[in-house]
Amino acid sequence: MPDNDVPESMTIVAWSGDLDKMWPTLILGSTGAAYGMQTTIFFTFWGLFPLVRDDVRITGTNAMTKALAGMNRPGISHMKLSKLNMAGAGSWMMNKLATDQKVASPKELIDMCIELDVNLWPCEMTMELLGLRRDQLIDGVGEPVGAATALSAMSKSNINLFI
Amino acid sequence: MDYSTDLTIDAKGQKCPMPVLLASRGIKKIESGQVMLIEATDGGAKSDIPSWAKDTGNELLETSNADGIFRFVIRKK
Repeated sequence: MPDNDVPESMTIVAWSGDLDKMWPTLILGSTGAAYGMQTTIFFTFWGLFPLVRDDVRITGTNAMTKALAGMNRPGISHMKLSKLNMAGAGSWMMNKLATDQKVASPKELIDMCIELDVNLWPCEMTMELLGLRRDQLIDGVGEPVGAATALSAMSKSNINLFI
Repeated sequence: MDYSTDLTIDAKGQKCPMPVLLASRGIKKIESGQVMLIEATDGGAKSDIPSWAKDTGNELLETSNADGIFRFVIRKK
């Protein structure tokens, strides 16, 4: 490393699966890796659903977890805005604006994260809670880990974010 | 001053953070001492690329701005 103080690692806890939260998470994560930081994103609770493959419509292991996926469509290309979603019109407009302005989509950014060796760690406990299986997640995601593993990464990180 | 470049990265039209991501991808493809040219139109690149080059220890040899295109010449450390 050069003479200045460059953070060497960053951990982001991706708790939200909202489009307008996951998007900046992926921007910061991929940019951190481009900066040469050891970068980890720990996906938990609602943040797990964007890791599900776009072609998987219903996840879940019982009526309740299936209903959850029914009401909250999984997949990086199906995220909703946290506000002004307006039954999908808001997120459609946001995606349209981004495409017109050539802003990289969440899908492109997560592919970039994988290419740049960002650790994408799904939370083991919430996967079980929400009824998500490993084979339903996109390729390039790491093995599911627990809170202690996430905390261990955070304790060694100069930058820790919870989004 | 003109540098002969070993790799040109075209990030024109792409918004933050893509110019930095493409630069990072590009720098992995060249050898130490080789020179990469990055072309971008995003205003953020003006500060982002020099900052990225500095923090990753690569040498920013030259920047220029003509016709709305920012050009950065970087030598890999």
